[in-house]
Order: sequence, then C-alpha cells, then structure tokens
Amino acid sequence: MGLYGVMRTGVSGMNAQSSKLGTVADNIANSNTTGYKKAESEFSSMVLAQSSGSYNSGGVQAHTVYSISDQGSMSFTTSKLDLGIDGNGFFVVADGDGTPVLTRAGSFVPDGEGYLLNTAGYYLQGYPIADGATPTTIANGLGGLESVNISQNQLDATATDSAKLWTNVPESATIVAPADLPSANVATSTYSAKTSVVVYDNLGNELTLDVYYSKTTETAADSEWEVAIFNSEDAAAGGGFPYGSAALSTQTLTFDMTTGELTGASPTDINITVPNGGTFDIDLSGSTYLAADFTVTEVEANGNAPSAVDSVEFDDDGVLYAIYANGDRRAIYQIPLADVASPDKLTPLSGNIYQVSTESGDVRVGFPGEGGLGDLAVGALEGSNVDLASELTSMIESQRSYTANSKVFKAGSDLLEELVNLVR
Amino acid sequence: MSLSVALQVAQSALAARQTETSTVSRNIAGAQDAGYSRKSVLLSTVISESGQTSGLQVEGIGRVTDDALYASLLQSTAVGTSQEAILEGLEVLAETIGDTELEMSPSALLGDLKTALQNAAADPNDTILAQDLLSTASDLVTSLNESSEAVQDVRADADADIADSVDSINELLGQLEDLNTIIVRGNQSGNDITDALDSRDQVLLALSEEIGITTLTRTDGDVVVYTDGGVTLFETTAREVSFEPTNTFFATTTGNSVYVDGVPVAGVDAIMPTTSGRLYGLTELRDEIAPTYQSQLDEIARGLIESFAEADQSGGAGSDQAGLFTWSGAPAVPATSTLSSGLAADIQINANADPDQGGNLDLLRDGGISDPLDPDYDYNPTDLAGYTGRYQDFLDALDEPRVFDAGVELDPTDTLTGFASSSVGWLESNRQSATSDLEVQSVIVSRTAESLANTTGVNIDEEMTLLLDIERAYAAAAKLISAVDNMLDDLLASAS
Repeated sequence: MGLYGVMRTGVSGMNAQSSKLGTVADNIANSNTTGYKKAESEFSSMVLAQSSGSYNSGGVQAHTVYSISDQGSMSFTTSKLDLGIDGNGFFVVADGDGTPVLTRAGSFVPDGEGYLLNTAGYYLQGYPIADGATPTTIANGLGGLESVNISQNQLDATATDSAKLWTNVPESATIVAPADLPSANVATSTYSAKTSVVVYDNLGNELTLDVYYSKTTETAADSEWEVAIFNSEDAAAGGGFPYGSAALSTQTLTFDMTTGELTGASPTDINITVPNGGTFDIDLSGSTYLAADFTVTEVEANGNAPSAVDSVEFDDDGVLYAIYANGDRRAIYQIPLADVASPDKLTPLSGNIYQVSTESGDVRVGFPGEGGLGDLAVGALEGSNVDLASELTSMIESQRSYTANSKVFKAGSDLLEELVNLVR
Repeated sequence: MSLSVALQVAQSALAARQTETSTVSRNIAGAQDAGYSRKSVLLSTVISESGQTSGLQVEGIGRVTDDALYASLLQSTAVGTSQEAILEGLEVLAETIGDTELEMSPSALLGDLKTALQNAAADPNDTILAQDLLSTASDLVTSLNESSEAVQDVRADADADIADSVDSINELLGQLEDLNTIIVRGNQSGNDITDALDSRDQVLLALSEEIGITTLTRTDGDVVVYTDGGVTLFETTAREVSFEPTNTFFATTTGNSVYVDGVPVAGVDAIMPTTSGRLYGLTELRDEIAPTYQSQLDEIARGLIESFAEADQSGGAGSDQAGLFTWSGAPAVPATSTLSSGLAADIQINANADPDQGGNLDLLRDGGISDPLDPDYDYNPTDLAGYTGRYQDFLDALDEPRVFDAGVELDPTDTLTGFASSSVGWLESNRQSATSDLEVQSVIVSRTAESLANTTGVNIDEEMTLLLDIERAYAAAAKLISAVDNMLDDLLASAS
C-alpha cells in the first residue's frame, strides 16, 4: 500500500485544492453580483485503518459551504424599486411557472405587464392589499402570495369617509334670527361665518360642502350655534341662498361661556350623507368660541378624485404604495420576507436564488422588521459578500498547497521509480 | 471584507460630495433670486444591523425656512398694499384741491366769490363787476362739477382695479393649485420639491399683495389658504373669487361686493370682511373715502344753493326758491340739513342771470333770478341802481352758521366757507396720515423681507467656503480609493 497510498493522498490533496480554487474563482467572478453569497471549501481528513509499524496515509475531502447568512454591504441607488435586506430573511420570488424560491437580490424592475422582476428574471411575490386591510400571512408556507403588479390600479376613486373641521367661531358675532338661519334656506338667510370643504363622492366627483355657522343664542352660561351644511352645487346663481335643495345636515353646537369649548352635553360631530357618496361624521370636537375672528384650525377630508398611478414606492415595512397623480397614496401590496432555520444550508441555484432543502429547515414567513426578520432598505442593494482581498490570499494559499501536494505525488512517483529500477 | 467596504464607503462619500456640489451651484445660481431659499443636502450614515457601515446616504434636499418671519411678511405686505391703494386714490382726489396758489379748489373759489360779492356791493350798478361775480360763480360751479366727476372717476378706477385684482387672485390661486399638487405628490414620493416650495411661497406672497391671507399646513405639505376674515380661498382646490365690475359711477351708485367662495368679503354688504390687501384698500377707497368726499362736495353745493336762495318778498307764504345757483330740482331748494347725493354734479348757474343764455345780469342785484316774471321774489321792485341789500344778504349767508349733514365726517354746524375749508383739511390730513402710514409700513415690509432673506437666502461667501470644504473632502475620498487600489495591486502582484 505504502507508496501508492502516498500518491493517492497527494491526488486527493490536489483535488481538494482545485475545488477550493474553483470556489475562489466563482467568488471573484461574482464579487460584484448583487445578492451573491460566497462559497468556501472546507476540508475534512480521511484516515485509513492503521497497522502497527507502518502508516497508511489517508487523504482529504473538500466540502463546499455557503456563507448565505453573511450580510453583504449595502450600496445605495436612485431607484425606489431597489430593495436590500438588512438582517435575516429572503425575498420570495417565483419563476415563470410560479414555483417560489428565495433570493437576496432585490434589483426589481417592472416588465411589460407591470410585474416586478429581478435581474435574474424572477418575479417578486407579495400579499395583495385590498381596501387598506392588513394581509394575513401563512407563517409556515408560501401560500397566498402572488406576483406583484404595479400597473393594475390604473384609475381609482375613493369616496370620502372621514373628515375633520375644527374652527373658532367669533364671540362677537351677532345673533341670527330663527327665520333667517341658513337651515331655513330662504333668500334672506344670513350667517355668522362660512367655510367650505372639498369631499369626494363614490365616482370621485369633487364636491364642495358649504358649511355655515350661525349664532342662535347667547346666555351667561352658554352659546348655541347652528352648523348647516349645503352642497355648493345647489347654490343660487352667484352663490349663496336659497340653495336648490335643503341643507344636507344641520347640528346645534353648545359652547361653554367659561371655557370657550363645547359643553359636555353638546354634540361633537355632524353626520352627513354626501349625495352619491359616503355617510360619515365630520369631527367638530375641537371647535372653540373665543373673542377672535372666525378661524379654521384644522381641516381634513380623505378620499380622492379618479387618478392614475403616477409612481410606486416601498416603505420599510415592505408595503408597496401606489402614488396617484393627485398625490394620494394607497397600499397595494405588502411583500413578506421568508427565513429558514439554517440559511447556510439552503441549496443555491443559478440566478442568486436559493431553494429550501431538508437540511435548511422549513420556511417561515413574516413581514420585514418582525420576529427576527431584517429590515427592508429601500433604494439600496445588497452587494456580494465576497471580499476580493481575502479571496486573492486564499487563492495564493491554495496555489501553494496544490504545488506541495504535487510534490508529494512526485516524491511517491520518484520512489516508485527507484523501486522499479532495483529489478534491472 | 474591509478593503471592499472601504472602497464602497469612499464611493458613497464621492456621491454625497457630488450632490453637495450641485446644491452649492444651485445656491449660487439662485443667490440673486428674491424668492430663493438656501438648499442643503440631507445626509445620513448607514449602519446595518450587524454594525457594519455602508457609508453615506443622500436622504434628500432640504431648504431653510422661517415660518414666523414668512407669516409676518405675508401680513405686512397685505397691510402695505392696502395703504398704497388708498394713498393712490387720495392723491388723485387731492388734485381736485390742486395748488392753493392756483385757487382751483371749491374752497378757494368760494373765497373769490366772496371778494367778487364785496366788489359788486361797493358799486352795485357796475355791470363789469356784476359780470365778474357771475363768472366767479360759474367757475365755482364748474369746479364743483369737475371735482364730483373726479371723485367718481376715482371710484370707477378703483372698481376697475378691483376687477383686475380679482382676476389676478384667481390666476394666482390656479398657480397655487398646480404647485400644491406637485408638492403633495413630491412629498409622498420623496422627490425634490424645494423649488416648488419656493415658488409656492412666492405665489402666496403675490396673493397677499392682493388680499390679506392666513395659511394652514396639513400633512404632506398641503397648504390651506384663508382670507384674513376666515373665508376659504384654497383648500384642495381653488375657490372662486368673483366680482361684477360697474362701468359708470354716480354719487348714488353702490359698487358690487367681491365674493370669495360665495361669501361677500369686500364691499358694503361684506359678511366676513377682509381687512388688508390691495382689494381692501380699493374697496375702502371706492365705498368709504371717495363717497365721503363726494358727500362733502354735495353739502358745499347744497350750502351754496341755500345761501343764494330767494325768499318770498310779498309777505306771502311762498317757499324759498333756488336763485343764482340752481339744480335739477329747481325752483325748489334741496331739503335742508340733509345730504342730497350728487348735488355737486348737478349744481349749475341759473340761466336767468346769465346774459349769454338770454338772462339779465341786473337780477344779481335785484333778486328774482328764480323767476324774473314773478314780482313776489323781486327784492328791488323799483330797480334802484344803488341797491346793495341783495349782495349783503349773500355775504351774510356765506358767513352764517348753517347745519350740514352729520354723516360726512365734518363739523355739522359751520359756515359754508368754514365747511369748505375743513373739507380740504379732511382730505389733506387723510392723505398725510396715509402717506406716513405707508412709509412706516414699507419700512416694516422691507425690514421683514430683509430679515427673511438673511435667514433663508444664500450667502455667497458661505457657499464658497463650503465649496472648498467639499473639494477637500472629495480629494480625500478619491485619495482613499487610490490607496485601496494600490493595496489590491500589491496583492495581485504577489498572486502572479
């Protein structure tokens, strides 16, 4: 066995080193590949059964390990669809057939149909969000996911369903006679102050609500104000009273003369039904009654006119927002991150993707930043975790080892030749 | 990893310096632009969860603002333009008084009339003196007519300017809507909106010149604009500002109100009145100052007609009749002690006393101008050549205290000459106080604008110093890259 064994040991050493060189070559080649995780060769010894008096040389076996859990460095880009993961987890992507796989390469661009796909051609998977509802995830599987499409919400209108209008009504206002109140809706109707708020109906039509404030009573204890809301479209020619139809809603607010705020018994909102639109309460709770001019301190109404998607962007939680031309934004997808118990044991495949294997453990799905999953870095890409300098040094190292192994082989071969020459 | 990381960090530093350089160049380009605010780059260092640095990230572009100063600039600008509009109108009105030396004002001509009366009284038979009296009286009438016309011209001009102001408000609101949409959308999608914010501030400033405004900022930089009276001008969309101009003004004409969002904000029936801005100044001029001056002229005209009115000499109970100075309601005299609107435009010389119109100059001395054929109103039935009673009556009447309308902002009990000169005084003192108010206000506006520019504007020296710093930092980052490059070179050399 002796000399042949030495030669075989040398060969196994050369094989192992060439495998290591292979990983170095791959790493250097992919040192600029987004989401690439370096491969390394680890060696394990093979020891043969020994007899007394002689040593049977065994060999070395090369194993390839992947540093998949090792974070690459982030580089920032100008694209809002470039995503990087800072921490644990993987994007769930799918190939054309819909088979889900994992990746860290997050340079997404929309294809011709609006689907987001990465450089290697895999489609980003996410949970669709309908009407602002938080999507439910399946913690241990990749069900319920679909390819993220950013062009589907082309035109969309939302009816207003909440509003807030806080004002200060002037203490100095004169009392309006009951017959002349806006709610009477006659040509002589007058008021103490007026403001208006834009709301949207079901079809996204812009409606201006005229809100009239009229002082009706004032006692030492309190002051009552009538709030009447009209649809400005019904206003008489040139604006104002009488409106074509009665007030959409009226409410009586009671202000406390001591605090200038609404009394405890006073209503704090006004319910309104927008023609062909939503029914909701306008929050008036912050209204005050002070010796100042009529001032609007807060005014808000949601909803939007039909509007095309102008752009899309991700936030740190993985929610994809569609930004409409009118500035409105709406969540349309949330993308999950998937993780496995042992990421380094995932099976790497072409295209920077990883497949769940029996060794890696089952997939666990959650949203970015939750339960040990990393954060999403928007406008950033995770670079390759290869360090050129260490790859070059290990290349030199394995070059030297290879030469040494070849010397061992040559020594064995030379000795064998000596042995053969003895016979002549 | 460290060499690659060092390279990447140096690279991110280069990118950040480049953005900074472009911002400095933007600042220098905008240094002379009045509405330009200084821009700066917002940077953040990035450290991953594992504590590994990834260099610098450009978060966006910021701009320097000072909300309090800006709000006070909006307010003082609005006050300034309202005073400017009032002063401009007052100056036109003051021209009706003219130079006191030229003696073209009703007050100066009233003095002339007195002198002419005294001269005529000295020699009542002299037709030359009578003729002089008539022409002085006729000058006075012309002056009153022209002053009244000038006042109404001022009102008509103010009305036309209101229409222009309303047009420009609507145009500015349209621009505001566009800019506001860009800002809201930009804030949502993280675009650089600093220039749009500058433009929006400029639009709001231009708007405050027309009408006093207050603003309220909502989420995403969305702005809501109210007039200083609290009426919505802009909330999501621009509200309509409407005004019907009036082409011709008479003393009795009332100009239309300006409506914002259906609420009258300027004009006589304003419910939520605005209190500053050009629009306010113009409506003040059109509806308050010019009409008051018109009323004063009307009262002077009424005083004249009253002073020269003829009483029934027969002992009967015939009512007083308009004499040398008459009006469209002749032969009756206008109701006493109350304003008769438009009288200054209506007053004229009675044709019966004017030889050019077939009248008789002697009637000035004898009376009976209202009706030469009615003997009841003849003060000198025997036609005595030396009769001076009538001239004396006139002189007495001019200096006799009489009651004027109380609503014309002058002392209601005064002689006609006294009333006429206090009218001049009223106009002059108004003009002077408007001038000094405007002077003070323009100092406030320019000081506020200056402070704002000092806070938010560009200081070229500062930018140049910054540029030097950037240059140094860029060179250092570049040096770092070449050092890493050399290290990798060394490594590659040993591998070969």
